[in-house]
Amino acid sequence: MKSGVIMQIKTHSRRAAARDLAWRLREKKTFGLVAFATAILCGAAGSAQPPSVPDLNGAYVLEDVEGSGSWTGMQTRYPKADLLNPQAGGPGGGGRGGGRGMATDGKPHGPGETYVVGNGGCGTSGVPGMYSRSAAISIVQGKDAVIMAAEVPGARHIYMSAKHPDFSALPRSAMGYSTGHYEGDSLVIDTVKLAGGMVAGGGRIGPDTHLTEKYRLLPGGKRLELTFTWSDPSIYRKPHTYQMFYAKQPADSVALEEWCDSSDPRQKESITPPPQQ
Amino acid sequence: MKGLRNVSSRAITVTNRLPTIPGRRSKRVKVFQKPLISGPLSYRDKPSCNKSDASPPVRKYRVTVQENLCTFAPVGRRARPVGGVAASAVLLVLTGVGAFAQGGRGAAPAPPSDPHDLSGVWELRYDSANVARASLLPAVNDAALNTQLAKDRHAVRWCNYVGLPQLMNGTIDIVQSDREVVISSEARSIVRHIYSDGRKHVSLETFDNTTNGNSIGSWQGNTFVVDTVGFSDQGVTGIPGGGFRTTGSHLVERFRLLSGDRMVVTSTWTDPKVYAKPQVYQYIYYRSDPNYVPRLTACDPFDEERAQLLTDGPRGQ
Repeated sequence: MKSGVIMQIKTHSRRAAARDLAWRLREKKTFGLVAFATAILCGAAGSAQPPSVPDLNGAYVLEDVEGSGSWTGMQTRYPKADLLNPQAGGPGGGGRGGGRGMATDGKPHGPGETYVVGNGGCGTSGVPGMYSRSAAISIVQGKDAVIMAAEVPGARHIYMSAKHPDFSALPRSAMGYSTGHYEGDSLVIDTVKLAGGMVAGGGRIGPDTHLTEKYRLLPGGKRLELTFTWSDPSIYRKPHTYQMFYAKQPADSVALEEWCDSSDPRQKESITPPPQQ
Repeated sequence: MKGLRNVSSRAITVTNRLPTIPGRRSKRVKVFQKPLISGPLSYRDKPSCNKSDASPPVRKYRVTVQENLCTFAPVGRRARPVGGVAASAVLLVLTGVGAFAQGGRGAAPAPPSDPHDLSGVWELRYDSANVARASLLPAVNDAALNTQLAKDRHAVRWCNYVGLPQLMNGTIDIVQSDREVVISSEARSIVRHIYSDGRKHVSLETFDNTTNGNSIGSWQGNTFVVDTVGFSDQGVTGIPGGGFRTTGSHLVERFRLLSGDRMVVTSTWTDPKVYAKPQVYQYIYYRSDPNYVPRLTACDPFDEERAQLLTDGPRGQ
């Protein structure tokens, strides 16, 4: 009797163990299937992931790589634009009333002498002028946008998502409208609808001008290479390309403010720099 | 006091009864409950409320006040472990009550997907501001206020950079990286850089004070707390509620996402030369249409008609 009970218990236990084993196997099988599907999905997701994003965050200051010694001098070092109509004039590009650095009286001025260059109106950020200033450029890489700002009013908002606003109905502006993407170690930006103005190397901006910029950190990570390419079949015979270089500032740098008050009469003036060493 | 954070992080433990394996203990899993109700209830059109609006528990819910915002939160602490059926019933009841409680204006506002992601374009609306009258020091008399007003009018007349707090009084564009949060404004102002990489304030002995000052930020729970010093006294210096920014001003801002694509920013100004007690005000921003492209407001200091209007005031036609 006793053994019969034990037998029953053992039998029951065996059956229970068998059921448990079946559950476990089923669970394992299910787990295996889930694991297999997950691995496939992960693999697919991995192959569909965007390329790694280069870290361009930080502040950058324009370098005078040619040693031209002045901001105006730097402008003369860029390759000349191949224009369809070199005689056609363009709108002035100076931030203080046009022709920055050019005396309005047309007379030569000696070193240290001040002269009037414009009306004294304070400029705002604009493309490409903001990249030629002595003030630092900040690059901030967000989730769906990159912000580029100088230390004057305004900022470029570069849409990094394929889903961006429709720019077609918007008016031309100093910043234009930009979309961007990453290509390997570079940030590539396309910009349209820029307001008129001058471009380094004698180029111009028209209503249909297209700008492509490529930002890349050079080996070592301390210098930024920026390649501008301007294309507009109504202005250029071939795309106008040139490069600028920037020194990356220490990570703990802070953005400053290039203060400007249009009511200050000194805002109208410039000064001839002394001879450079 | 309960807040949205408490509601959204509330968890209940339920007993998983599917399937039950003979000889094995049933599994216990933790289910994180979605925010049942987040955001004001009957206060949906009221951006703020006073502490007097706080109510005793009614029908398992309580209206509470957090940073002057009315919040409708379920009463009670973490739920005890209950059975699956019971848990489902509780969830169903709570959700049903919540949906009912949201009122008859369509679906409930969606909770913020990532409470630490402030990025986007945000705008103020007519009901955005909750500003109290400032408590000024006796030295800040009418003469001092008139001097400050004249300076601000000069800054507007000549298209100077407006700086804080004026740049926050309109549409703002926030982009954040893992090191900083930048805020650009349609107002004529420098971009705000709020460094969130753990750094301290820059030394004010070497810093050239600016209209935006030097800002550092950090997350405290779901609130982004921004601390700003190093202001200049240039630009448009007026502070909502009264008083003005000086080189000795200190600003603390608390950014927090609300449900329904809204963000609340609580600003607290202190200044030993201006305020008898901290000046606190609150703005609720609404997320802009995703197709809206913010642009810097144009300003021409040499526009004579504009200059005449700003300096002489309107004249008879």
